[in-house]
Amino acid sequence: MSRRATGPTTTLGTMAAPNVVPEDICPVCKRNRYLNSSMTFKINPECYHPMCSQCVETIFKTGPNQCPYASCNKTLRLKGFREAMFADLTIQREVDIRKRVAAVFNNTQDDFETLRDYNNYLQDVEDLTFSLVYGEGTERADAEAKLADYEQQHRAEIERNKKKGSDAEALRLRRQKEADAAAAARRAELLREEAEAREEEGKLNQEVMEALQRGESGNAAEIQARILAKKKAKLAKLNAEHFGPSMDNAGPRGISIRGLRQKRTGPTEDEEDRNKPYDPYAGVSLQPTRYTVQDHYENPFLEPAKEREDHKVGGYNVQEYVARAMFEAFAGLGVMVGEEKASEQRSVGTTAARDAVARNKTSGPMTTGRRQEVDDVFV
Amino acid sequence: MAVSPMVLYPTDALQNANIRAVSSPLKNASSAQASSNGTPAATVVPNAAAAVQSTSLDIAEQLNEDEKRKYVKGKKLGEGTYANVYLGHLRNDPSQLVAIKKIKVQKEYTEGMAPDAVREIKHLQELSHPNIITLHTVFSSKDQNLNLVLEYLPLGDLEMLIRDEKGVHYGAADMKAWIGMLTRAVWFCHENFVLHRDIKPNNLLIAADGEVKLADFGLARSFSDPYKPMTSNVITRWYRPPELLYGVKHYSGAVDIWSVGCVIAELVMRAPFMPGNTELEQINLICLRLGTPTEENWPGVTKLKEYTTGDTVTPVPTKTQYQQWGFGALGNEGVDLLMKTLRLDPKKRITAREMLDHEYWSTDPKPTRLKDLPRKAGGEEKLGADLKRPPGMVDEGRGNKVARKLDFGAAN
Amino acid sequence: MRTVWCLIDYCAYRSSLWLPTITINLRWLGGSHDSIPSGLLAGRFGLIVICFPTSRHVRTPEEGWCPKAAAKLQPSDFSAKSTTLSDWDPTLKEATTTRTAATYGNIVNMATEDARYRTSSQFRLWSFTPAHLSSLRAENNHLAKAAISARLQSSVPPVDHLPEFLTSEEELSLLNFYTVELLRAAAFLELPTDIRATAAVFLRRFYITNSIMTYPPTELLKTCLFFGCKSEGYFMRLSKFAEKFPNTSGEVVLAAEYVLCQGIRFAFDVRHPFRALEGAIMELRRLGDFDAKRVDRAHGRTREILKFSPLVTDAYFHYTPSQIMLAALSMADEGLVQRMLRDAFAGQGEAEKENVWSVIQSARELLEREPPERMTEYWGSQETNKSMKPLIKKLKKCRDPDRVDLVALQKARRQQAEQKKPKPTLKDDTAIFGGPVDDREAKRRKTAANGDDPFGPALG
Repeated sequence: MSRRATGPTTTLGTMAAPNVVPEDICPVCKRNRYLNSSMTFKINPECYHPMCSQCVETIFKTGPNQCPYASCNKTLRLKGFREAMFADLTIQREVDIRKRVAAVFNNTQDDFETLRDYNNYLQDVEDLTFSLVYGEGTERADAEAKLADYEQQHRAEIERNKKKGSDAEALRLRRQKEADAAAAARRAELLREEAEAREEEGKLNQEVMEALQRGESGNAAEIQARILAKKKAKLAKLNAEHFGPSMDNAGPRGISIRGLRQKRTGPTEDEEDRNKPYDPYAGVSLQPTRYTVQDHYENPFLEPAKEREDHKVGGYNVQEYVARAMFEAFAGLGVMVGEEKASEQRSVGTTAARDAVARNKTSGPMTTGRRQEVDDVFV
Repeated sequence: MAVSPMVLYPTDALQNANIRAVSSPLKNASSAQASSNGTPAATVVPNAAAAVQSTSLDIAEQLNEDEKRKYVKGKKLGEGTYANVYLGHLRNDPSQLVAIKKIKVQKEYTEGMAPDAVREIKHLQELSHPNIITLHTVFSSKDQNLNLVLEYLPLGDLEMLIRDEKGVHYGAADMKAWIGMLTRAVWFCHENFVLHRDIKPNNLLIAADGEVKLADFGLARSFSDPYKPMTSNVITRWYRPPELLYGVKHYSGAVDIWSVGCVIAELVMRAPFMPGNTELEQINLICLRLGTPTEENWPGVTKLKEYTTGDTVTPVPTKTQYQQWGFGALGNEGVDLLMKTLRLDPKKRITAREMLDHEYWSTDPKPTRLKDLPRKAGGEEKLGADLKRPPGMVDEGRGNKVARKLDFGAAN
Repeated sequence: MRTVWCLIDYCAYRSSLWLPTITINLRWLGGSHDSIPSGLLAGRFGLIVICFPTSRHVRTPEEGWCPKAAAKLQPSDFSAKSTTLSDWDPTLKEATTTRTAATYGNIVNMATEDARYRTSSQFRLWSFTPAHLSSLRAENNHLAKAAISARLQSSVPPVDHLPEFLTSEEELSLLNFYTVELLRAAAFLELPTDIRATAAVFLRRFYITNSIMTYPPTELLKTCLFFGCKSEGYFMRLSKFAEKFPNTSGEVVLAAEYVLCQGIRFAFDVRHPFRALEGAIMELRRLGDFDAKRVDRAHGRTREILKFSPLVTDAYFHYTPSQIMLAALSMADEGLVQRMLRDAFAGQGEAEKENVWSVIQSARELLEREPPERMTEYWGSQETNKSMKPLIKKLKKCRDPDRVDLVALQKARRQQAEQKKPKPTLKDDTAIFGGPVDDREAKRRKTAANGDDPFGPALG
């Protein structure tokens, strides 16, 4: 256990779950970046305790070992270590969990019968995720179990969705690429602005340096500490206020999803949509049912229009008139106003009328003030 | 009303002047302020202002009030001499957005309600189609302005997409989808016996879901019956067909089809196909690009009063030529369709229905689905600009200010 | 940071236990953007949940999307940040195309001549059952009486005793009388048939939403004729039009134009039976079962009927143009109509045909009350004029004193609009949109009030 003794674990132990990646000093071996400029920090998603890559090497090279943090008794493997994407490890952990959950609960809206079903599903998944991220003790354990259960039971489906997802992802990426290309100019502009900002920042840093030179040591570290404290407080508040209460009534183990579409064996809806032949009329048919427009009708009135140069050369089309006359002769023949409009019989102007009556009652017929209030909305 | 300042003409004089069978045509139409002896009401001094401020609403006012109350007017999207456009929403559901086009009282037009507004309202009230802008309702505000509640179309217009060569890339399938929607709109108008008479890219607005919607019916009219002349001074110049440039008074849906052809060409070229600065230049451009109208390709054309041609006689281009110009991007069938829309002789031009029956639609590539169509941000301002523009105009800065001049005589 | 703010009130969200937005961004969270934490935090702390462009799912209004939050942001805020508006709101399509979708559905399902007629404003806004129509007229009559009484009583000095008002029936008789007057004037002006008819329909529609006692019919009929020309695309010069009438200026004709448009509910397209008749005749000739002379005779007679009978009755309100046309045709020659229906409804069942036949018969009964001969025999006769006189006299005594002079009324309206223009607070709008009153607009209005429009004259 000599390896465990390498770090001053006692002091570390007082720190409850450190949730930021250190910048300069390894919390385990206390080595300093100053002496080791290539130092990187790694975490293991088992416990998210950060340590420098050298510690990782030395402690876990020979096989699984316990986390060097005092209060932590997780057994870690070298394989599990990686660099954190986020400096804030709480976020890193949440993102990892969400990734994990998303890999399992990978249904899309198309898989559901209704939007409400999809929303219910998302809600359930979010509840589970929350338990995983913020739950304590049994709550988290329960959630883990549920996740495992679900994964076990729906393995085939998850695989299918995953494949579907990667197709969609490919499409999305392609589209994303196009969008990115379109935004290239804008981004260049942003970069330029950023450079300017950086220059500004550089100046500021210089000032800090100068201040430090003047002997005001410790300032920079204090500021950093303040920022970190703020972040912590935020998260704590969040947990207590918004997510705490709703989690009390955690449902029974095992998750059942309602409203999933019956799985088709054939092509997906999207594919079907693609495979449908294109309809230039988009489903609108104006084909008459009571007559067929003929190429020729006997109508002395129309004959000159067919012959006259001023009609012919300009493209006047007698057939357009004929089609219209025929349409009008038969359109609405089966529309029974007496029946179809019977339900519409109601007093008109209901709201306005009621208001007008009310106004007359309260303010007398000749008062004008109140009327204007209503009308002015649209002046 | 006891005192009438107006002199009463003897109705008999009119009757004698008119030898028609109708008797005394206007005798009762002239008595608005005729004296009414000894009526009790005469003791009341007429006060028009009192009527204006009266709180009681007759049914017309109630109905108007009801329509007005359905919407809440929001911020202004655009302002023009012809109209202002506002964003609005349903009062009881703020997520239901609409565009409210408030038509200004034209002080210079002294003949009452402007013909543009009359035409637009008349036709939009009747046309319901997914590719035609929806007029939800019309109401009047207290200051006697017309308010048209139109469908809210936030993604700009086709012209924006055509012009943004850097930001918007589109291909043959996308163009096919747009052309399809445009053709459907025109087909629906023509099936309902309405000529649009101002088809151009910036009258083709784009809805949130990508659907193209034909808008601006300020120059529209119903098909004319035989022997009833129409004005030839319609359609923005670049999209105006040769028969209108030659001043014919009896024409058909073929005029809109020519415009559709010009829009298709513009979609491919990403530049106006025939941007003439004057009518003469326009005719020259047509002759140059699409061939000189002659008795061979258009019987009778040389006898038209306003017939002119360019200096040299150019033959009608062949399919190969079209392809060389770059229209090959539309595919073989696409070029065929385009050529048929741009035939000089309107009688030989394809109709909207024939367009929809063309093989173009069934050949590859398949038109892009709505949700996959390229789109562009910032359309809201454009909606404002499009709706407020008087008909027959393209945006300033396109170097073609075609102020439309309609003669409001009988020849409409 | 490419984020889209969506219209979701976080509290409302929480209370209903919906949390989809955060969840759907999981894939994105797996990416390498450092802006995620702030997105997440904003979601938890603030009122607004952020969703990212890849997200397809946003709650729909039906599911209780919170108007409060929606009100805080203007949709313009979204389009500015997002290139794909419909991506974040798949419901927007439905939101903006309600009417289209509904009608579209109809067309798809029925695909008939009837479905298309149902989309017309004539059917949507101006078709009523007889009971409904008379209740509207009664209501109108009642409202006008109340308003005019109030006006007379409040005048200084007050009127001793109120005049006797017209009854709803008397108003209808006068309306018929003035419709005939309008047709006479139209004939005098030598207007085409469709314009005459449009103007007549406008007049009758107008007096469904307004009382004859409120607006003088003698003036309105001129305005109807003028506006009828306009809406049929026949733009007559106002001065030319006005000079044909005695004692009439252009101003008088225009004074009621706006009131008329409002009264006819901005439905400018009137569907007539005239062209329908031409179609029917062509069809009959094509069927070839009848002697050409017989068809021609019926054609002529039906034309006469259509030019008069439907216009001085309520036919346009209760029947469709094709029904009116066939009713008139059956007055001229019933056999022709039977023959046409037999063909039109071939294979569609006898019941449908019988139904249509009975509607045509009831339309015919209505038209037969006013055969074209009545134009001269009844409406042109001395006795009728005499019998109308007491009614006209009665009207003059009971009409709205403030609306007799339409020109003055119009001026007063304009004036009131001008006065209001430095506009009072727009309670509803500003509360919701929080937009400042547009300075430019205010300025424009000011200068407009001074008589010159800074935007210059309208384009030709």
